[in-house]
Amino acid sequence: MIYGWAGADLEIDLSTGNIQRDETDPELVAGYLGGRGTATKMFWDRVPPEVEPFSPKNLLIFGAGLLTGTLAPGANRTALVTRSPQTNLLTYSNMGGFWAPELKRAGYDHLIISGKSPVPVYLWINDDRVEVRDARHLWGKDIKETQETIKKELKNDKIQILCIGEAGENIVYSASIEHSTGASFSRAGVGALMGDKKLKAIAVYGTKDINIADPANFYELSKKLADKSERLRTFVDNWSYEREGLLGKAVYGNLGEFRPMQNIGGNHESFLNENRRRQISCYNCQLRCKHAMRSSGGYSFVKCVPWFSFIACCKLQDFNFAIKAYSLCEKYGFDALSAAHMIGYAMDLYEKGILTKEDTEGLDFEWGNEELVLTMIRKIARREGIGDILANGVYQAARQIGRGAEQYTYHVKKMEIPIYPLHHTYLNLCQSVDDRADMLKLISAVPQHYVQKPLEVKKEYIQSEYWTYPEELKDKLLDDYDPTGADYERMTKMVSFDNDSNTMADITGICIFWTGFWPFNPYLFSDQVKLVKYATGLNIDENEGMKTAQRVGTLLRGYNVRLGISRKDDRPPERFFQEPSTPPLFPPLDRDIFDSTIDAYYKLRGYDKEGIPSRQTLDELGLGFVREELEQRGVYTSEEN
Amino acid sequence: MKKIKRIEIDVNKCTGCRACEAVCSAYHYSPKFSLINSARSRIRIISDEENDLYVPVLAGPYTEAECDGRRSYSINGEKYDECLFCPASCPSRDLFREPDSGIPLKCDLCGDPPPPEGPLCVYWCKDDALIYVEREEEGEEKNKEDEKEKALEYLIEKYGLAEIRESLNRKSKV
Repeated sequence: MIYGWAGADLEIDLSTGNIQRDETDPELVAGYLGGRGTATKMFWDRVPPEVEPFSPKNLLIFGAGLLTGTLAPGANRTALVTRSPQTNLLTYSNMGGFWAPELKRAGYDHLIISGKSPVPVYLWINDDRVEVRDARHLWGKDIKETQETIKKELKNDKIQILCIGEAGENIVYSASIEHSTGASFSRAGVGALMGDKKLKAIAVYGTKDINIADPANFYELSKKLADKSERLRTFVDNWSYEREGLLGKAVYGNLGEFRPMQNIGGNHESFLNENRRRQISCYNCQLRCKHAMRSSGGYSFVKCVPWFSFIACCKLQDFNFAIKAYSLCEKYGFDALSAAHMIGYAMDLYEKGILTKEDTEGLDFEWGNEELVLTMIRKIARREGIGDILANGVYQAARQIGRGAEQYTYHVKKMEIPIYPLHHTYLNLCQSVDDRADMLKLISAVPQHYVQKPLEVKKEYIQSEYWTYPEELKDKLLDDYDPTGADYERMTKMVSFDNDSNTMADITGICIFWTGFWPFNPYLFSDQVKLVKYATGLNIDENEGMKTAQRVGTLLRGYNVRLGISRKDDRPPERFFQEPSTPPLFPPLDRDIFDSTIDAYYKLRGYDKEGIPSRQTLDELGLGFVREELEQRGVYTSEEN
Repeated sequence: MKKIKRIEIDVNKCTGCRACEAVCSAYHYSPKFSLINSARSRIRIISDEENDLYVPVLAGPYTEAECDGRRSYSINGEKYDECLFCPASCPSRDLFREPDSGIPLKCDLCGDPPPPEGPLCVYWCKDDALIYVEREEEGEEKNKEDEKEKALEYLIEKYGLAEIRESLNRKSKV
């Protein structure tokens, strides 16, 4: 019997309709565990870098987290590993909700989609019965309609569904794959790939068991972690910009200008309190971080940052409107962060005279034009008029528009960047070095906010049961905070650790809200590894766990190095080095400090000065096959690396 | 005095996380916690997110007969079939049955005695949508002997002593 894993992979070739079930490969899971780890290795093995995102040979590999669907609190996530149409790199997108636990109950750890269907289809995975079904009647339907129709058709209201909306069908480069309230694969344009493959939806229902090798220890630790979540639960409940003291300190907005928090939208805390009807959770999560907000058309579901993006990017002032725009993106199935960014970008170009009414078919792209925002969300999703150009993302759109539009783009590795406070060296390090180009994958409250807390608070924190960083960083946290980022030694060590810890979370399927994003994370890194051990019976310790996480992260980097990624790409937009924030809370980023920060970070990762993993690093991590590839491709120019 | 044990459900507090389903299936397996499978759970969360509806339903008694299922509930303007909220394990559906053997499942409040922390669905529900209540109440514990006697008396009155005796004889030979 297999423990922890479901025990099989399911592969569906949409070109031929072939359905194949394979037993889990013990060697693969021993080296890469699961989730993003195993999915990344499978992608490396099967898809050479010459395969473009829209090739039928590009695979969508859904990897359910190794602990997903078990009693480990917060373990509900799936990683989708594929080549992104937006960045043209190997990427990953993660999702919570209930889909992956269902996939595992149906008996599968990975779902691999290859080929392209000639007509729209959807998949129905019901334990061992797998069908490719006609979806012509679903094509053109929005997310909610699609899900309702499928549930009726399959006569089962317990099924879990992934689907794309019009944005995915029309191959919008930032299209999402939607699942349930506040759970979707939003970033990296993965929805466009489902649209390209004519795959409208994936419905799953399962009734099988997930077995645990060491039940007593597994249960005890899971229970302890669920109990330990009390402090974080309260913290997340009450989290608001006011309570965190971010007003007037944090600067938001990428486009047109940078704005301090107090000018944005109103009172966050009272808005939440007045409009929130319920807090909801993903599978087996006690943190209930998603808010069900009563809105005119029923309920909207928001969490954290994305619904804020329209306020920051399009200079809107109304929280209610921001939620309306966000929900509309969910309906059409695309990433609200990229959507807001694209519309704001067009507004910026309009103000600068680069786009005129001739280009916009008479539409008025004034900042803050609410009607226009709603119109453009529809036009981008349907690729109508100027929406067709913006649908390719700011990087491509700028090249199509020309006339100097390029200098006003804000992206990292061609991906629209989050609206987060922009002038911290720390945040720019996070957003620059990630292969997905999304700082939200690396940022954490300790290096971002806790370094700034009073000494007593920091002292209490390093002694608390929530401290998860290496011992040696305890004293470093007590050092004075330098907002310019000159204290990069501490910062880079924390980012490097967070990178590995979060990679482990993508492997186990535990949400980073439990493992590293907030200050009171119930999970320490060692807890994740212990649960892997108890669940599977693998003889793995903390050291080996860390090495596995590094192996997975470095493998992703190795893949993208073959696509030409290097130091030149690990950089924030040039503008952050040139302009201070307005009002001048922060000076422009210091080039020397930033360069030294990158140097220090590369050193910790075992990369050379150009950001290429060194031969020694690859060998140490058991990635000799990556070294050979890079050697063959002439990536290493000198003997030194 | 008799002891009342019950789980009280507050549908407004449920976050829809289904931790209760997971822990229920794990606890009721032997060895304990050695598997997780919502399909084996004696509690299920019925949810309709778009209508803000989250209803934990605990498995009730097994019934051989299907009911007519002709009633419906209207909640926040949305209509739901009564079957959706029914706790019975019945022939018309596979809810509250072991998925492999078909054996009906019923909530037993985690056995007698329950674990020290009480029924586990309640313990894992950190939002208090499920509350375990145990209290003494006036009145006598139901006497099973009395019930049997009463049932027999009823049958004898209805069919006559001779017929019941014959029936019992027949049964005891099988």
